[in-house]
Amino acid sequence: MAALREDVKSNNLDTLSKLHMAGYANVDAIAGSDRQEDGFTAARFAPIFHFQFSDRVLFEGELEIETNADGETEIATEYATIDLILNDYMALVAGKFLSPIGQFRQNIHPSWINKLPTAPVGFGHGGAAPLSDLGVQLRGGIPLSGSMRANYALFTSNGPTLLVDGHGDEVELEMETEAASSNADGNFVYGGRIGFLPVPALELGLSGALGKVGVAEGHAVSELAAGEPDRDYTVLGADAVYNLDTLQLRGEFIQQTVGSEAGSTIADGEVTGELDFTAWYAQAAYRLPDTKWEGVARIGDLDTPNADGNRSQWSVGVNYLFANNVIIKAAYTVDDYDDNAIDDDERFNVQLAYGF
Amino acid sequence: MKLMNRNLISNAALMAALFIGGAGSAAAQDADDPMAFVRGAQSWADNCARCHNMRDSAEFRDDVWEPTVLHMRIRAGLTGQETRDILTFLQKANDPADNKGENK
Repeated sequence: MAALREDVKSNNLDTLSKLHMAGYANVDAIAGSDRQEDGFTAARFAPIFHFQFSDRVLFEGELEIETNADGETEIATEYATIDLILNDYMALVAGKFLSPIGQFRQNIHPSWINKLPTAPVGFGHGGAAPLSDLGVQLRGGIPLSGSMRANYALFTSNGPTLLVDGHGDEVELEMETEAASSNADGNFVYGGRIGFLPVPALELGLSGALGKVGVAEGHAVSELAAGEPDRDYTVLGADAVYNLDTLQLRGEFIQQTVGSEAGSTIADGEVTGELDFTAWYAQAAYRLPDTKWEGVARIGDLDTPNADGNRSQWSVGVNYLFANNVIIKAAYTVDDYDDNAIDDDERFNVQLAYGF
Repeated sequence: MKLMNRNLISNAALMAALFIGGAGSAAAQDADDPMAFVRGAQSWADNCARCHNMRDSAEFRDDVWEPTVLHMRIRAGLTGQETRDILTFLQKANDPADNKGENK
């Protein structure tokens, strides 16, 4: 053992720079849906790279490598930031980072952490919760009194873009909140989140941001619609989590609002009013004490200007934990669409997730 | 508006430079703190499970825990002291002999 220790030391593992690869992977399957054929739906590999220099600098980058429906491999950057530790209570984070609005996107979305095989309705791509930002943020923790603590994140970024596709009754609106390296409207969004922990088991979070957003036609955000005015933008979020032994209660509300603009002419002037994109969920998870079995239930709702996508959703699931970071999840989900002309969708999702 | 935005960013960068220049490393002074392990165990228990299932200290080598815990400091909004304490706990718990003050 002593010889092995010497070998490890001789490999310069105590040098200033350290490289570590973490991440997660998951394999998904679906059955019973009226909107999608039964089958295996995802093989995702999400490596996370940590390059640390001394105890003051960290590069973090997460890739998402996934097989798409046509058998091709898609690669996306989830985040890539250089983090400078400024002092015991503050770090500067620069680059593409997961949105500090709310909790799900920045902390809960990895498959080995999320207790259900799917994201809550409205908290994925094309939903109501912001995904990521390109900019800078200051974040850290503050001890208050006894075990009472707070944490915070303040950021400025390029901000999202309102996408308008189609005309008249067929118009589809989307908040494109995936960080882009263009800032076509020249405006920044300013925001943050503050988390308050009166006791360690309970965290209450409030988040928000404001600024202006540009309006683009179609799906590209690097070029805005000609002559279309920029519009006021706000996002508000509230989140809470409570742990009691093996019971975890979690909930979150997020609303993005684009202000009205009487001078808007895009889509034949159909998009002049205020636009709200709202989503929320509440989730309970309970692990049977001294077993590897866990039950999960979640309800949620999505409400956007696109009537055909608005729906409430509920899921129940059972998880088996081979280890705390190797989990197989099975869940039954029902989407109940607000438009009675659209059939509800019921499905089973199964996911094997491994965090490493 | 653009000019104002640029000024704000410049000011933020200046403040950041001052923070970096004025902050010192506290890691060394915590290394011999006998209570760091106890505080770290408490912080580990208090914070990690708020988002994810607990990870066993034996999952990673001591040196691998360093970038991992630094990553979690950023993610979870931990203070520097909490981060150092948790790192001390994970590294010492990784080697029970170290926890007894033997064979470092």
